[in-house]
Amino acid sequence: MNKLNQFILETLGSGNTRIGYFQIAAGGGVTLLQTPAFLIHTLSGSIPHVTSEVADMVFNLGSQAIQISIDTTYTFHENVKPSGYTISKFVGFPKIPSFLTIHNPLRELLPGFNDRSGISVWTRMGRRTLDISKFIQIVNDFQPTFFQVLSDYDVSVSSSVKRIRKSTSRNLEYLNEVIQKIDSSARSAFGTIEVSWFLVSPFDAEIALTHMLEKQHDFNGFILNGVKTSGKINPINISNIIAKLPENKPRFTPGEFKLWEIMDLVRSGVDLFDSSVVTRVSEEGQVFSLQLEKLNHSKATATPVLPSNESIPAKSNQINGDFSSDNENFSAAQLVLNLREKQYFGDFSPISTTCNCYTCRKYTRAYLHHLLCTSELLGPVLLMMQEQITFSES
Amino acid sequence: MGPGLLEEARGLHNFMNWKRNILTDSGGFQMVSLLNLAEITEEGVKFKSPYDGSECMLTPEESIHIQNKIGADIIMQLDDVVSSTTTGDRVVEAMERTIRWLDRCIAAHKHPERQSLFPIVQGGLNAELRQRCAEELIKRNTPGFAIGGLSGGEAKEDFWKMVSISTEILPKGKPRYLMGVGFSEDLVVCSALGCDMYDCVFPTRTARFGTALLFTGQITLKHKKFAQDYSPVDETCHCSTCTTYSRAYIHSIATQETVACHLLSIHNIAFQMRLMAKIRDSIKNGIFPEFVQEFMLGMYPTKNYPQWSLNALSSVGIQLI
Repeated sequence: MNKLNQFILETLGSGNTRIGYFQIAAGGGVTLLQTPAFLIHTLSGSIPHVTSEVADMVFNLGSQAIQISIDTTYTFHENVKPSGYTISKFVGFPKIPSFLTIHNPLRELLPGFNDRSGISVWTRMGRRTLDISKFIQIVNDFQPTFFQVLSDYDVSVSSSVKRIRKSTSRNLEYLNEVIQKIDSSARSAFGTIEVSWFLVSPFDAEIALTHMLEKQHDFNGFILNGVKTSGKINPINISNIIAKLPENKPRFTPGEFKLWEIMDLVRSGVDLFDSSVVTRVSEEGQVFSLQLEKLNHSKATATPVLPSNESIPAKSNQINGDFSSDNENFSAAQLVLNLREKQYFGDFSPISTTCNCYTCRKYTRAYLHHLLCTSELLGPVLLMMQEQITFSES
Repeated sequence: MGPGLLEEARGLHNFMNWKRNILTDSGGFQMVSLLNLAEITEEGVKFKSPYDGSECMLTPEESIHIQNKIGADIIMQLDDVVSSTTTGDRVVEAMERTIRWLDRCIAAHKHPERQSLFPIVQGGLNAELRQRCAEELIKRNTPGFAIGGLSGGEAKEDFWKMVSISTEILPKGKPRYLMGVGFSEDLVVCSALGCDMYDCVFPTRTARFGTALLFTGQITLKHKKFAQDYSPVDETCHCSTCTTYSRAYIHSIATQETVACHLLSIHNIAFQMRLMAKIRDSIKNGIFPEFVQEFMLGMYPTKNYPQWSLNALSSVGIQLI
């Protein structure tokens, strides 16, 4: 039976890649979210620098979902329920489905702050402990379309086995509570798997996964956390873990990834990401300058690969040639330009000659340089618009 | 470097891709705001950079040439501005120099056919000086006039009187631009006194600090009383902010996310435009005094109107209820 909001797997591509979609009812409308997809990263519920009205100029909002985190909404979470609004409506996107994560994916999480009473979130007012009942209350108050089940994230490759076991057992406990207390027909729960479990203690990891899979009919997707170890993704690890997961459930890897890392993850079988990398890039006054010439849109093949050197000096404006390891039939150059640099003072070209976004159609690098150097608020807005569009197009 | 860049870009309209009107100021206000970095002589104003100590001389000619390169539709003369709380000989000197500088500006202006140069009435808070200044400026037959040197820290009672003197003397067929105004009430009262154009940082600046403008005054959304106020910022407003967001949410992000600055800036500018539209429409329909009464009652529901407003409005025959 096709439930609304259910993930539908459409095609399997080469390797572990997949194409799928969600058909989601939100705020009186229906959103078609086709995967692989990204959720729009927000802070306190808003896309950085971008109002709902401007977002409408950047995105086709009928096919997007927003990611909202508990930590950045914590200071006002008690003000949502009395309004009767869903969190989407409260933050200014009434028709857009939302995915509630625990943490802002850009937030560095400090070890040593989780215990029996709950896990830590770092809010505007400082660290707070989130216990399972508070978590459930927030989920029920916010009414998100999708949400991450409370998870003990405090694991890494250097964790002790004891710490791993605490994490796995708590995660199962939280999952059970959520299954009992949150109505799954109303919203979709994603259980969290920590990659580090498998790296430190495969034995405990397998047990945890087995228990999770026993309950798989009671939740709707998987989050893979801790995908990067020592700043790098090991695709083999990820693929091995994903191989154990049921095909028909979506996989989401939250966090800041470079575009080629996203490609690696897609090839490993991941369906959902967030656009936190865009927020990060915009904080630096940078933009993506993608010169995508030909993209192979065929659904049945692997997705394109981009070169691995991100910070190419802007003077070398074009890199021609084939960078894909699969030898796809196109050429692309990915640049991160820092428009604060002096060289853009008199540069009257747009950020990208192949980009059709509002910013590239209307403004020159020289003007954006001026806005950034004088700390005008319009600068970040225009940059963010350009970055979001470029990111979503790639 | 800036003017050169704008020349290369063929003007500010192109550089910022704004197809509508632009008005530029002369740099004169910085004589007040950066007074301790400025040295004023008959030649011009010499500013010292606080960053590297370098000096730049802004003469009337230089100011006009820069404004020519910027290419704004309306440009301002370089005037000798003094703070509105200054008194004595300096005020006289500034007023008289402003007239001489106007003539130099007019002589230096390269594009009178497409850029309107406005002189600025000065004279501090001295009625006689203001009158003399205005009379001299009128002789130069410019397309419009600005009234400057006000909207500093002066008492409102003095403020309106100086505005009134200027509007009485300045020709009725040419626009009067009151610089640095302002608050909603000031816009209404000064329109009653005969001003046509205004500029002010207030609506956007106050927006960035979390304050929204309404016909009932201001609300500071950061205040915790708005935490669960789910109504729009302004029930009567149709701007994108008021049709999408609640006070409660803006309260949650005010001073935290730049989005709040944008949302309130949009609302406040929409508010100002509505206010000015109401002023214009009521004048056109012959019901301006009624509009003023309604507006002031909205701002002061207990009728504790400020004395200066009462005096100013009364001087043009408007009584409040």
